[in-house]
Amino acid sequence: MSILDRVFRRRRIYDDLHEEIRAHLDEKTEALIAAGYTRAEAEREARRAFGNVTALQERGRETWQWPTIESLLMDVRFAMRQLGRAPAVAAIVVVTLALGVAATSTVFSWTRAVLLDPLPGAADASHVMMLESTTSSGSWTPVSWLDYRDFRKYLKSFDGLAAAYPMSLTLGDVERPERAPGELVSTNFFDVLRVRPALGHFFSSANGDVEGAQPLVIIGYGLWQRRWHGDSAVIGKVVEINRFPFTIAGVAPKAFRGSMPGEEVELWVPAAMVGQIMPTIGSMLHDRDWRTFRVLARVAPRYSAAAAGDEVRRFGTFMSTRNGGRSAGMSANLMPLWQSHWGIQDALRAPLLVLLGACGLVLLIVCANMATLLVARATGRRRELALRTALGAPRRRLVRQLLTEASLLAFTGSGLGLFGSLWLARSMHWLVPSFAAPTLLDPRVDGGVVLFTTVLASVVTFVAGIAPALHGSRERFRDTLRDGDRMSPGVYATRLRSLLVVAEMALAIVALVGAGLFYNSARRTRAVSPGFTTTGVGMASVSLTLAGYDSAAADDFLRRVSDRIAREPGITSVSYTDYVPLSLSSGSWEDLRIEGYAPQTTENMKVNRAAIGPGYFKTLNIALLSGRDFTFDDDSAHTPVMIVNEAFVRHFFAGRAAVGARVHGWGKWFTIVGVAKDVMQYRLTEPAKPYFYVAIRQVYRPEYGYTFLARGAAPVDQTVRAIARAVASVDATVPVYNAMPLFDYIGAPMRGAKVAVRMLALMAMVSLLLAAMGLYGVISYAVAQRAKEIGLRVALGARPVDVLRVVSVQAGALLAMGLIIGLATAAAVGRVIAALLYSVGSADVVIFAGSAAAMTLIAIAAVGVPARRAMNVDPAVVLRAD
Amino acid sequence: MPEAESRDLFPGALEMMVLRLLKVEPMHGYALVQRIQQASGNLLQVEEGSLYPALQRLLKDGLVKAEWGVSATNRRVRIYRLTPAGAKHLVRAVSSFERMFQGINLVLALGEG
Repeated sequence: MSILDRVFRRRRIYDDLHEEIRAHLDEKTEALIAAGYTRAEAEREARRAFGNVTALQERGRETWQWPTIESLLMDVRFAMRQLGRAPAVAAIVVVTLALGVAATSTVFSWTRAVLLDPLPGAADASHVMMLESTTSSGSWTPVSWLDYRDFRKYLKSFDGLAAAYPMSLTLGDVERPERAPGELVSTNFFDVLRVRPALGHFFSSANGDVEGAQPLVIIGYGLWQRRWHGDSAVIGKVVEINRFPFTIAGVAPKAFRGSMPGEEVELWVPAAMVGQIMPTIGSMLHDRDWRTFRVLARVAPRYSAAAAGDEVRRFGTFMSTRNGGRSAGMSANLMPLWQSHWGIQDALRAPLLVLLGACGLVLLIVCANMATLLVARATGRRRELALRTALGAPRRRLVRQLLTEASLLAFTGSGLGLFGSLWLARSMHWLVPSFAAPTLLDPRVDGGVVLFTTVLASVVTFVAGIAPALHGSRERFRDTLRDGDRMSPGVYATRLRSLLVVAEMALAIVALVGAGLFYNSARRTRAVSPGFTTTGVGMASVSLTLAGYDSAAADDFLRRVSDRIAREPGITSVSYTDYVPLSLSSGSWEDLRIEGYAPQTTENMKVNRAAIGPGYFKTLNIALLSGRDFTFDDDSAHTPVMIVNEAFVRHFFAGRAAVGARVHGWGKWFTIVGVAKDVMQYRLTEPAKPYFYVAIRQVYRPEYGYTFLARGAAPVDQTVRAIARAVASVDATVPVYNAMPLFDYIGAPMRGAKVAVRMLALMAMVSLLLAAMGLYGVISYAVAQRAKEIGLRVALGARPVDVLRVVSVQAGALLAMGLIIGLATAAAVGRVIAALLYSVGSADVVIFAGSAAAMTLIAIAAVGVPARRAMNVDPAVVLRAD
Repeated sequence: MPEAESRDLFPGALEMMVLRLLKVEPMHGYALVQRIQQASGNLLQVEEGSLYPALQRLLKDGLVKAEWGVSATNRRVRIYRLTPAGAKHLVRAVSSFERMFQGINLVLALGEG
């Protein structure tokens, strides 16, 4: 039956009922007239015998109504009137909820951008997983091209495997070079990710990855808009990438930002073109041990992720046995993208998860807040509810009424909250350092987030509404009516409210302690010295492949630029390196053999390293503990030399002298000439690991970007400009990037933690505010409810002190319970946080004490203010008032 | 009319009586009220109007059917008749009422025998 039918049918039923009742009254009237009544008397008597016509007609109609729409509207209208009577409570609840929802959906949109939806623009992205090789020591490593080809050829559980290698590329000619983040990808990359071009077409994967066969490039939507102003004639245009001509084949859709979660890629070229882009590393396609690729695998729908993972592991182990050599002991692993190791999600995972947890806490507080306030109000409204019950309102109806009120609050609150999160999302750049990935600066508040919020609102409504509803409907109305408000609220109500208040205090303490621990962690992280000086150091990176520099020319270039920088006024030292410590990249490593050291059979002898120029240690202020620094004489004509760190010495030369010992790498023997102090290379939290330095002139590899570092007494910006100027004056065609203070640049590995800490501080403030509002609201309401009792006591001669004592004993008991439970829970949660994050002491006395003190202060204020007010009221007025 | 007790029928009692009367013959609302009072020897005073919500519930549950017709006194009235479902429901309701009544009687008879 259609809705229209129902409406019309119902109309007819109502008309029938109406007419029927009128006929009844007529018949009765006539019967009475026949019995001797006058008409007027008869009509009156007929009506009296019938009862309340309107009410009965209404009850008759109710039988046919959908309980949902019509009485809901009525309930809503009524609820609005009711809420309007206690605007303060309504306002607190709505604001509380708005804050909670705004914070939660903001964090959710972040989490979504980084962890949940790492491949926007790709269809069925949930089936795409990451395949990583594992080394014999069990740690992860990227996948070599040859391994990738084998995986792709032999693995059965996948609908395709794509490889990608992130790399900055230089777009354009000498006149207009632009550095853009790019990915070298297998030609099936877009097919595997199921991305559709916005314009043109993607690579053809029909012929596999034939080296040098497809000089095609796909450009990102943003780049297309920026550089070509969205001109569709761009397809077929020839552009230079790293000085090699490529034809633009297609434009990626706006949503697609490459395969690195949280980062934005703007150029995609076939990995098989690597020989053209960077001739010196073309051999990576033939070297099984050159592990550089991320492998994205689309699990076929008929396989489970676990089954696919099993196959990957089995096949990975099989391959390493078959290939032997440096693959021995290796295997492979399959994991969801958000668990993969390469990319920003690795750094943000822990903070985001903790943030989500904090959001959960805030939401719990919000629920507790709503419930306590609504329960308190329901208690205050006992008379109204009792009266309505006495007048015949069924209990179900009252419950529904209370739930409607709760929903009204919930939806208003979450609506406002959504508004708030839109605003928060846009103002995210206040919180996020400017160099963060654009995807993080622009977290979309989209359908998913809206859905999330709506679900939240419903859950909150249910949780918060159910308590007062149950409680309200349980009232024994006769007692209530008889007693009026003279009695204190019933035992049940008091107990429930006490429970909620205690829970709320406990939650708030957990939130406060959590935020405090985080804050401390952040402060300590900032205070941790990386082991080298960053203040006053400027940097700028160059790419020498552009100008086709061979090793001699590059050597000459690097030397001439650093000479020129050194001549700038105020510069005290200058150097260059292929790896900036604490930058986000994974750096390079080399397989070493060390004279006099017998490695364990499974030991990973890949040791990380940097290739540097002379003056590096002086520029970064790293102490050389023994031996000497590199000089310009350490070149290909002289004995290869190496400087190692303390951990290297400890690990490989336990007790032996390191300086003078020989180490094999790059196919030749190096002599250790110096030992440098340990410094942090990758993370501020890493334990010292073996690390070594070689002279660029002896191991030059043009594919790496080189970075000039200079320190001076002058303001660091001036130093940065001096470096850029020096590069331009030696060769203006060499593109310069990352020209900035070193301190800004290495903030990157800390950015995840930094952002999380700011968010957490915000959350802690919100939860403190919420808890304060909730506690204040509830306690002061309870005290106000006892105004009569207080008035009575004062009238009977109680001194203010006595009254205050009575009130605070009750509040004190609740506070004590809340504190105990909260602190115990916080201690447990603290251990979890400590496991997730670095340098968090789980038992930080100051934080725990501070949180407890804050909570106590709030409780005192919440009791004191209304109690004072109650005591100052003329007892006569209170007692007389009903 | 005696106050108080007149409305204190237990839930479902009115419906049961209506069904029972309709089992005898179809009739309209006014006649139902009269018949209840007569048949109960005026022991039951049904508030006349309360019949109509009860009739609406029975209609909705499909236990009775209604159509407009003409009464014996030549009035246009809405005549209700029992449906087969209504007849079945009546049997169930009466038997459960009888059991309840028996139970109450047993309790009330305590200490008298």
